[in-house]
Amino acid sequence: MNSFKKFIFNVFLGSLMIGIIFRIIIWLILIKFSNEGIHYPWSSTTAEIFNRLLFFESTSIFNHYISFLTVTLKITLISWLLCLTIAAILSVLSYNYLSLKKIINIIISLTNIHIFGGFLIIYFIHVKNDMPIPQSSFLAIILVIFCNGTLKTLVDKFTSLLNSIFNQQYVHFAKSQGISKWISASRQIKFDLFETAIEFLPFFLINSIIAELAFDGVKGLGSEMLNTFKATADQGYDRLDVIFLMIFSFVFISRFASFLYDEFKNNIKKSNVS
Amino acid sequence: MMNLKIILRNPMSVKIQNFLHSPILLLGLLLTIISISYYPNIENPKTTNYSYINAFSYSYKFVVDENLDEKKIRRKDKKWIKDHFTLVENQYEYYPGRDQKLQNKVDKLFNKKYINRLNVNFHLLGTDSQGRDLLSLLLVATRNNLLLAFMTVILSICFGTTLGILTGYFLNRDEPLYFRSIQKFIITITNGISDTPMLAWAFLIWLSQQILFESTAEIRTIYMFILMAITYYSSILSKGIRNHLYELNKREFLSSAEMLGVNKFVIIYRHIIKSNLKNRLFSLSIMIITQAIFLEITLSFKPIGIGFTNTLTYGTLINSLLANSYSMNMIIPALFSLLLCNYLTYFSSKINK
Repeated sequence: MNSFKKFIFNVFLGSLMIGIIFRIIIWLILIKFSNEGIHYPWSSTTAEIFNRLLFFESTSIFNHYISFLTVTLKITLISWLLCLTIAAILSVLSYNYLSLKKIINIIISLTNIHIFGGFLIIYFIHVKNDMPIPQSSFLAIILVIFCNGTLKTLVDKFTSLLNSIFNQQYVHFAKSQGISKWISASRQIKFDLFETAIEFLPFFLINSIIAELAFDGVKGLGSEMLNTFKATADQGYDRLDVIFLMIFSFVFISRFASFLYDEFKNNIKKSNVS
Repeated sequence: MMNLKIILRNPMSVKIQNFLHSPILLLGLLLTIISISYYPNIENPKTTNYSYINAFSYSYKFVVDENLDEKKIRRKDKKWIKDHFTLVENQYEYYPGRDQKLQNKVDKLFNKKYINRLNVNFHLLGTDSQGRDLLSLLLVATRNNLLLAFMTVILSICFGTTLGILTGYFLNRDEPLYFRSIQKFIITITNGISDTPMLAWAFLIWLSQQILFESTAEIRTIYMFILMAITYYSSILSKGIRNHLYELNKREFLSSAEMLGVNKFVIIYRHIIKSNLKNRLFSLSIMIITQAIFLEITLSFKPIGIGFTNTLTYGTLINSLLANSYSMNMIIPALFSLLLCNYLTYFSSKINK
């Protein structure tokens, strides 16, 4: 299967299929609500009921949805980039200075405390000092970077990458010729770091969603997902289109990231062979 | 350099490390916590002082002898003591904390040295807002969380291993032709489920439960974990097992065993599960235990509020921290749960290595 076909079938249609499964389940739930007495504008005839499953109610939902998507993507991408930068710096430091390695290891092992662990610490500090908890995307980004445990995994991966790259024959040869090992291995380091970075993008998306759940004020896809499901369950609101779009975008983003990862890997393999 | 380090390592430290990373130690630790939590005093921690008590402190009560009339106390105060203190075995007792006004009065009497203060119970980690021993609560919460996580793991292992072996070994062949189609179908479904965010699945299951049957939040949460185990966790597990089996297939010993006429079920049990999959399954199970604990904390978290409400779990204990955040005590359950999960993650990564 070529890349385009793979993108269409695995990424786009695959994500669409999962979105549609969610849509059908929510649609069935709404029909049950309708039978129990909640009136929807589309629930009078069978044709309208099926129309509701197949079509969007109004296009204005997209504007609403895009603002939430932007917030989530902003948190995901910023935290991803910052976490990669910090991980790269820490791994270079722990590779170059053995005395720093243990300190860095201790510091990064503290980051494995889950988003809610981080949130509780923030909550506790603020409540102890009688201050309201700030509802900002900045704190959500901080939590995603320092509390989800990915920083530790990334530092470990980057350090082992550096170890394996610098132990290769061509680097030793370049070193013997007076060329710095960083210069000789820079191309491979760049490729390998990028490959690892793409692999971890879906984790950041999921953690951004969890971080949004903790902060009411950060209106992203995560908080909206919770509100939507709660509104459907408690008041029987019709949020079919929002749920479909959210699930589709979640799956699409994570599948697109793994598609990019596979493509990147394949391209490197091809270039190595040629 | 690395090899030299390993050779030069003290054999005793290697033994200690091996012991620390042994599954028996982990299982022993978890089973000890579970069995201790059934000890009656721990399962039903007595409430004495109805307020927070700091860690490493005693709960206390105020007492005064039965023969109040012989003491030099104002008549008004004597009457007050008789009205508000409880007569137990020749002395009047009062446990503090129930009412602030009463407490102020008792404190005044104590300052005047009319009544005495006696220590009752020692609380290693202090108490919660209702005066219950925090260590006991923590043990019971750990037991409930671990039992929930074990249930999730057992169900996901049953379904996930079956699916993984089915797609990675049993259906992973070109003849008969329909095997490939069935394999593709199962892989599409399991990949679809595992690509969806865990919370989205949890919300969907919760929503369906809300509508399909009426029951308490506790029962709904248990059913949610059962469904999550059957769908989400077993998909993740089957994906891991499938990829592992693809790697094994490359080594061709499975096809050699088939060529020699060994029964497929014997191959599955002896060559796949017993000799190759044991460690992988163990590390994946620990990963699922950690995820189940975190999922419980997330769902019971007050702003989300779709998990347990009355059962003692980490989630509900952390919620009580959010409700009464003026004492440092309630940060202990949060820290303990995070430490346990960290230890499990570390353990899982060690086994993987």
